[in-house]
Amino acid sequence: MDLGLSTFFSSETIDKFIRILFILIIGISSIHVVSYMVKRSLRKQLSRQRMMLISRTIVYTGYIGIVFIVIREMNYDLTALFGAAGVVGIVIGVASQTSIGNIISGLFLVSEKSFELGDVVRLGDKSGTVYSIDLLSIKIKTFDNLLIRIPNQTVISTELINVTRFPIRRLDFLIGVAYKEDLRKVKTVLENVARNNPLCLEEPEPIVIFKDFGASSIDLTFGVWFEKSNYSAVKNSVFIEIKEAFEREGIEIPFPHVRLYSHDTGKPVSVNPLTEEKS
Amino acid sequence: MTPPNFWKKYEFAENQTLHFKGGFVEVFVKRISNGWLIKSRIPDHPASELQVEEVDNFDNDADVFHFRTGKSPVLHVVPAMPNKSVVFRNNKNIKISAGESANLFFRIPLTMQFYFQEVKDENRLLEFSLQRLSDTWFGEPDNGEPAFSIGSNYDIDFSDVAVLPWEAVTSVEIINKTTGVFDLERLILRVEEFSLFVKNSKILSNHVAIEFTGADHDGSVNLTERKDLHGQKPLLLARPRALGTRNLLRKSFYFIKNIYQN
Repeated sequence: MDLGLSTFFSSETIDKFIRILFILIIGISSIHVVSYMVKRSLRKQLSRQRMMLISRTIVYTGYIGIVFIVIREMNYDLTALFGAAGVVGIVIGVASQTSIGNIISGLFLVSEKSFELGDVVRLGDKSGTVYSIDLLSIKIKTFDNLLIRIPNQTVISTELINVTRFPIRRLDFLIGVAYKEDLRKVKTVLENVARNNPLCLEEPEPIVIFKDFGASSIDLTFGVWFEKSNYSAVKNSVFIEIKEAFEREGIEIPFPHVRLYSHDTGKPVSVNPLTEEKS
Repeated sequence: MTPPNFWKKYEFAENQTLHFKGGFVEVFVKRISNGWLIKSRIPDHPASELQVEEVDNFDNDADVFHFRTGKSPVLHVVPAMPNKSVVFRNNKNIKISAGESANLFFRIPLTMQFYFQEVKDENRLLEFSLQRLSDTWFGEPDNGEPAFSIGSNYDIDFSDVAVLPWEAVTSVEIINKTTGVFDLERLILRVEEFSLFVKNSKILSNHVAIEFTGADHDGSVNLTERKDLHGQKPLLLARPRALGTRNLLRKSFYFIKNIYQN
């Protein structure tokens, strides 16, 4: 049975095949060598994110170039291909609306520079470190070591909080103290907690702001400034020190209070817990 | 113990342990075969003097740092300025009229560095702050720089400076080159670039001359040695932690902006 293999594997075809293989090997390795050298030479001048963008631009452009060279080697008429490109473009455009939307959103995200690789971000209910910024999506590594892929379109249409953009941050503690407490003393005790913790910055100064006359307590915000790398150490140490300082000074952090009134007299209802009578 | 007797080169015998005390830290260093064991602890009370003594015991517990450095039994104990800049916070209304200058003296707690064989960065084993300083921030929250706080104490006469054995004295001259009154609020000293000298048992850093040319301008900062402070031939005790130039234009002052906080 003649499958036409002898015609296909003619010396001309094999020669062409070897040429294409040679182009692919040389082309792909050249792209990666150029990308590596550019990254290496710009390592000190550019951020990781910019380097990744430049590297990807080199790689994608290189691959497109190789595809065109290979097509030409295979004796396909590129003019016809470009002619058909308009129609194909419309078809592909309709079929890949979401992807193109993501690519365009990605361009806006990159130009906005609202975050970079390695930044800690909060997006809706998700937070983590920006792991990679790709053509269609960004990837976030959560603190429990999961990888979340978020499409660029979602990122651009959602409120994004960059937690580590600035070198220092303020950490707010919401605290409630009993109504009977001397609020000036409470303020002084909290200020001393910040002053005695070496990781809390002296300046900007810590803040104590009384917020509300709450249902069971007077609510206040205690904010301390710290260098962003010290987040866990500051959160834990200040938390412990507030509790210890309040215990030492006899300042009560009250539990929720509920008072029951009988509608007849407007007086509180007395509650007597039942105890078993001893026989 | 005078500074040159404490900050020096030590030659250890095999298994010898020395106990270094200064300020708010105590360090035990034991020479072992081809290396060192180093352990530190915070004493209940600060040592009033710099002391070193030989001890017999060395508790080889979990907090011990173990270094393999080779055969050299030489250990250098070197003072150094803190590893971040320090900020002075003026709360006494220091005001300098146009064209006038003020000379202020600050006390800056040192750190104790241990080097094996010779004093170079790659030979540094450990370093310990002799007094823990609080962190602070110099500048705006979005573009300032991290620093330690040295509080608001200063002297205006060198002879009045009650310097502790684990502190260095820094002389700062501020020259007001503007046409208005200069109201000093926050001053940053980039101590990583200061050398340390010794004179009459006191450790001094370079003299710093700062020109104030306006709140939003970088002023000239010049590091020098002054004959009346450092003597004719200043005796160098330690080189700067970071090499910089001795004359730079940079921001040395910060003026607090009142911002609404919620």
